[in-house]
Amino acid sequence: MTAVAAGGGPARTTRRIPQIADFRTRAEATAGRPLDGTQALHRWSVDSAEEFWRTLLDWSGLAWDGSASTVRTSADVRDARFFPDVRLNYAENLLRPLPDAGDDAPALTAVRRDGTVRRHTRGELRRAARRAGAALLRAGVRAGDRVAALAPNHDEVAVAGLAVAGIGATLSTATPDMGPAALLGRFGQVAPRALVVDRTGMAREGLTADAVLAELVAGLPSVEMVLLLDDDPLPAPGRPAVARLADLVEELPAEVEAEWPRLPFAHPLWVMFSSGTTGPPKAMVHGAGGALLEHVKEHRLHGDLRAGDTLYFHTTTAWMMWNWQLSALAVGAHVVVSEKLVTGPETLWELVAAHGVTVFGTSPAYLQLCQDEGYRPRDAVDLAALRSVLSTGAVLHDWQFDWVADAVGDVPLQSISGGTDIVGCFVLGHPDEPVQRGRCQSLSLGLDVAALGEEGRPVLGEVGELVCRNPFPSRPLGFLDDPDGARFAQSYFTQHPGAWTHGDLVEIGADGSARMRGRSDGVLNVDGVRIGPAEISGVVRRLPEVAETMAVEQQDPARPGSARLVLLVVPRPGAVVGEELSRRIRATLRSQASAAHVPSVVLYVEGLPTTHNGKLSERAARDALDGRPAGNLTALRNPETVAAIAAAARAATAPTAPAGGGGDGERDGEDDGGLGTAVRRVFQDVLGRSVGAAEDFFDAGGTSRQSMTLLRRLRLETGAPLAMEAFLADPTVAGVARALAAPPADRPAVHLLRPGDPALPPLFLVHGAFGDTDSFRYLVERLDVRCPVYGISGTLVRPDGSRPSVVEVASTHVAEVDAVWPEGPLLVAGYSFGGLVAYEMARQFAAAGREPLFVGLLDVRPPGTALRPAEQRLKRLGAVLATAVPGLRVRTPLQAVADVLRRAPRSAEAASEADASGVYEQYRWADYAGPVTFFRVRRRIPVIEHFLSAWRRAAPDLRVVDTPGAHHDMLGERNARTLAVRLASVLRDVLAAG
Amino acid sequence: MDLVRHRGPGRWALRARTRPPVVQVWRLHLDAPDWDVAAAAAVLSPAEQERTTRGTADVRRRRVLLRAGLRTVLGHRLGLAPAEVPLTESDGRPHLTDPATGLEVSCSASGQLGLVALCDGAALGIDVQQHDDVEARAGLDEGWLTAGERAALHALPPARRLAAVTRCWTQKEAVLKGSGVGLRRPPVTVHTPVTPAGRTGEWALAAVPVPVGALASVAVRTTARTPRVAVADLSPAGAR
Repeated sequence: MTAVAAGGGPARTTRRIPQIADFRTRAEATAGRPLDGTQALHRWSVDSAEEFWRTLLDWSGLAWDGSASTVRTSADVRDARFFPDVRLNYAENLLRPLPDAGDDAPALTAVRRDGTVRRHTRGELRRAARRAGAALLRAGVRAGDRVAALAPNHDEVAVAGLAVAGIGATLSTATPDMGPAALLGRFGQVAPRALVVDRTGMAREGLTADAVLAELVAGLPSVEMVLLLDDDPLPAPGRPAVARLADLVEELPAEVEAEWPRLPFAHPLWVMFSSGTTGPPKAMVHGAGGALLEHVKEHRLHGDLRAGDTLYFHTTTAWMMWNWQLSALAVGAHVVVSEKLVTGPETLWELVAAHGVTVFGTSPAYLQLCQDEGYRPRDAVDLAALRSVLSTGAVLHDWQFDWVADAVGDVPLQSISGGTDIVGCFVLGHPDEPVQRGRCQSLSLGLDVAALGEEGRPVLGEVGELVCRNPFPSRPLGFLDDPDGARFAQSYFTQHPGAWTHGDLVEIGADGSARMRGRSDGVLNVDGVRIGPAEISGVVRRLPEVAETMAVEQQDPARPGSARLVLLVVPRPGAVVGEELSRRIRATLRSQASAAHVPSVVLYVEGLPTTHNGKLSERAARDALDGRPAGNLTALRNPETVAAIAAAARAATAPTAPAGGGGDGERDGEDDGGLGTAVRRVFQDVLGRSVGAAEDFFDAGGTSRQSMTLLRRLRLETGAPLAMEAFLADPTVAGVARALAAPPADRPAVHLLRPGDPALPPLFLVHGAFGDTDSFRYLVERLDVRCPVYGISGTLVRPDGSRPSVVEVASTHVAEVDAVWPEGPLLVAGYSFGGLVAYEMARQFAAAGREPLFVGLLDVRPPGTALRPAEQRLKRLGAVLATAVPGLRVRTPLQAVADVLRRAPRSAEAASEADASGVYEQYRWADYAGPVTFFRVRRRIPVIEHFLSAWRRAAPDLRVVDTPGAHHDMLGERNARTLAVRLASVLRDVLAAG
Repeated sequence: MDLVRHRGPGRWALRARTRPPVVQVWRLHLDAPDWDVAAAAAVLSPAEQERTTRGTADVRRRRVLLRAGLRTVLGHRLGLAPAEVPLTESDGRPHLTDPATGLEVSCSASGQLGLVALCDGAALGIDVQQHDDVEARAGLDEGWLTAGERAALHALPPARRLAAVTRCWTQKEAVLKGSGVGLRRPPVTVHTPVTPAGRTGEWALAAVPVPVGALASVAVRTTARTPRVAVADLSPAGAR
């Protein structure tokens, strides 16, 4: 060990061939067939999992003995054990000389809190760990004992940890600043024989570090010795014995080093803790072989980490990423650890630059801090060595990918996600796959990872519960204090039999990439809509006033049995909070997410409940909001937040609460749970205060300018247009609700959208799923054709609540068009639902001898009846109607139709919804021989592909034109521009020919 | 009669053109502490009083002070006591009962700023709007701006864009109020020039100077280019 100043790292390596290429060659030899592409290799690794893991063990060159002929003892993830006849030593595998990383290669660089730097070569580190191991043995620690280590992330705890592992003892780590209660909650289960402690940062308010240590030791009767890592004065002698580990090493004869025995593959290596907020933390035991093999797999195959690389992953010893980064030594990489506190956006980037870090791991929160502060690492420091950035711990948002590309540079940003429970990743990076904004590049090799939908079947392109359906080596051996394994089974295996259910939400694409969607126990289900909390926080966090946010479902005090959405917001220092900000939060969510994402209540709090692992605990917040006693407060880093949330919730719901006093809950009153609520919420949003049902908008302070906003929002919220005339006639919540619930006014079904040359055939645009033609506004504005353009409005719900079929709707419109434009050629087009109607109109016109010159289908999905069984399955797979793929999710036809039904009492909604989808799905189309032009959006759900084959079967004269955007926004201002150009071009051809 | 040079080389013509009308605008700072709301309410007609009893405290105060301010200004002009000014209302907008006076009036308030405008011989509308970035940004997509206006707004430097949205709104409102239709006619039908002054149809538009944070415009039905705007403050103690 030598103390040196911070210096430059190795130069950036030139173009490299990823190690996975070499592994693929080996795998192909084993499989006896080519395994081209990421998907093929992953498929094989799952289908032939035993071959995969044996090939990996062989290829990895790890040091082991015994036999690998038995890869796993069963095919059941619940009880399978891997490599029962293999023996190895974790520390030996991390520090043995490697062909390209010998004893002189850099192994560990530690940046101390004071800024000094210490470097260790592999040889130095091995000797230090062996000597420390010998000291432990001499102090009485034996293989199989448990050792707890309490220290910041520095080299000494790494040496101690390697020493513990080397002699076959089991290590559990945490940070000194966690507080005695939380530490006892963890280590009490571990029952360690020895406690390794760095007292730095251990002092707490009113308590010296030694007092905290004494309290801790008093609560851990199993501890026979305390080994200090710091240089502070020794505490007064007592029981148990306290000594400095360094002193014990000093006392050893110069040549003494511990032997590192090879132990069974499943020998317990680590005890780690989940961030459970109910009951005590789960103390999970990880085996040495499973953790090592998983880490080597992830580092070499997914991260392409190797000798010559320098890894810095910002972590603490209380987080699994500490264990994960330590294992990078096994692939020959140089690991940097740091105990410096993050004091600003520059902290970690400066460290990256100073040490030539090639792979930098951090969190979305830190990247967001940098972005918020306007810090641009590429302009501030030299990042020449950096070749990739990893992020984990929370959902990494789309815009953060943009920020990294812009402010960091052209390095892949790999979002990786897994958990302490598997001390590894389910989804992570891949050297061969492109980085897509917001997505993890690939599924973890050998792990049969899937997203299960509501019915427990795997879904693609849709958010589901993350499961792993096959055994994997890094599955924990079990929990401590769980002799019959009941808690272990309960934690992972009850929800989906035969699979490991992790508790995360994920959306997996057909290409194997994935997008994490937050914890599934934090899933919000408000009025039947499943919302990933990350979808909300992702939007709200973009407001400059918002530092942190958490969306939580609360039992609605006013509507027993139903839930409402509460948004907890931690404002930035100096931000002005109150109704104006609440209004803006809601407006932003409504415009950038959906009406379903708009919270009923916004509460401003000083902090969010956070576990010691740094994860937000939705459950703790939910318990506080619902008035339930808190579960395990010691699991939280900031337990005081729970009481603060409960107090804010009480203040917000108290009838005497002054406006803006801590929150702005909805005022009680008559509440039909449907349209009235939606209208009232919009009034309140716009006015910034609550209103009575009969209160006049203008009397309440509303301005005419605000009435524009109000009408716009009413349309977005209720999906129904409200005429200004109708609003002015009764500008109250009740009046608007009545107007919206009333059948549409008698306006001419066929109306001129834009005049044109009456000698030319007119274009008729058929209404969307709301019955109106407003959505065509931008398109018509920009449509450069000389023919007149008409809109056709329609009524999709009869006064008796029944719904006309597509054929009936179309025949009504054919008659209406005949009345306005009785003869001559014509052009028809429709979007989505209206497209189906337009198609049927064309058929009916053709049957009457008046075949339209042009039939335009603006991204129209065929009805269910038109699909072959295989296509039906494909459609269900992609779940096109219920998808939560961002940007593709907003109003599908079914949703749109269903939204119209929000006018009906909620109880009737479920029944009506089936009817509504029936209108679309039950349309039995007939063939149409005339020309049809299909305008296909560019962004679409993989595998669905619009079922153009189905369209071609019905309308063989089909022409396809690509247009930008996704289904829901192809008519929006941005995309309508191009659509108008393409549509006009087709129309001009048609008009010239006709 | 003015000598007007038409566009084009060397073409001069004599053309009937009214002098630019003068719009007299009084600003009322509604948050001034010494307004006597009760005394102001006393000058209102029974119908006005009925109307001003509705609404929140802020709305009532605003309506009372603004209408009393209008009566004060008109009374001063007509030599009448404020309570005697013959005002009638249609759609909530006041005008003088006797058209022979030739005086047109318009009022507007936003936040704590009220405006009373008077014009001799030309229809007018006035509108003031407190600017809010978020509201203005939302306004770009609320359907009341025309495609041409949106294009012009997007062509502006970002720093000026949102205020220009708010100004567009005040111009539209001013025209609709001057037309006597208000929001019954969709604001999207008024195509404004996206400049502080200019024309739309038969209306000439001008900016009204108001304190920072708000924007105000008048629309005057005239063939003149820009109406002249004279601004004074109406304080509780009287006009200054």
